[in-house]
Amino acid sequence: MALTLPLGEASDQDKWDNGGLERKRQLLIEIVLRSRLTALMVDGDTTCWVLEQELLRSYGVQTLGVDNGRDAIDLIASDAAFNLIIIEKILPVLNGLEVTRQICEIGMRCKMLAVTAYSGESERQAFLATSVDVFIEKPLDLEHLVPILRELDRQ
Amino acid sequence: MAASSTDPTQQLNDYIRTMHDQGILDDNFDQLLALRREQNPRFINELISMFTNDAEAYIAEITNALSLTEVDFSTIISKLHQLKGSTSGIGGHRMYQACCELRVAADDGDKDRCDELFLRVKEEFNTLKQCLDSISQMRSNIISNGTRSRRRRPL
Repeated sequence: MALTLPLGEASDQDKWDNGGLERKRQLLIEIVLRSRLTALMVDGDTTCWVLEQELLRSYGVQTLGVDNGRDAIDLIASDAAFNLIIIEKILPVLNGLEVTRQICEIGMRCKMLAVTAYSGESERQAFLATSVDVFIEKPLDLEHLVPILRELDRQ
Repeated sequence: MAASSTDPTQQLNDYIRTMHDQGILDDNFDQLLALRREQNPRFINELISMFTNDAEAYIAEITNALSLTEVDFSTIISKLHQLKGSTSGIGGHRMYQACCELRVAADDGDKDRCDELFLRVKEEFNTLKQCLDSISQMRSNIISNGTRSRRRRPL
């Protein structure tokens, strides 16, 4: 007998936001990755880190997370390779902008996403100037993530 | 067979819908619901607990920074950035809006305005916490009672 949990199936009662919840569910099954992708998350906030990890793991992406900029740099410098790096701006030890610069200097090639609690256009421009590929205002959402994973899977 | 109003799952759905209607939750909470994990049905409850603990810590640090003779706006901005990020991830709409307003005051170095707006942040956090605690409790009851029905489609 199947165990059912709250909101385990779509119903009219679930569609309180014009089908928003159903749309999210659809996005979670929209792609099936053929490649084994890896991602590094760099975020000092536990809630955000865990949430991003779960989003990526839903698609079978292997994830690793660090909660400060120095550990991220040390990891990259030790030749750890990732298809995707997700980085927040405000981090302990080294901020996200500096981490991004140093990762570029090391020469690591991967998709880099700045995922940060947006505080203004200057923050967006500062990150884009460091060569991140995409700037996303938190939280990382499926609408942004799916096309990025699809692109990485094709490479 | 239509779910009755005493059905715990329907009650939970109705409660979440009400929280949406009141602006306490937004569609980022829907993303959490969509992430519901078969392997760990308590994932959402764990994330809520994580958010609550982290938010209380950030609020305590902001409280301390605001209480100093020389207000530490740098710490306020840093902790507020993290609080905004985790609040957006959990889908706390009104609290997120309050954080954004406080950020403006902190950027301006306006202590009086910060005091006023921080009060609102704390009020909205209390409201959100009560909401999330209720959701956690309802989910826990459903999970521990093992809501099963031969008439429901399996997950």
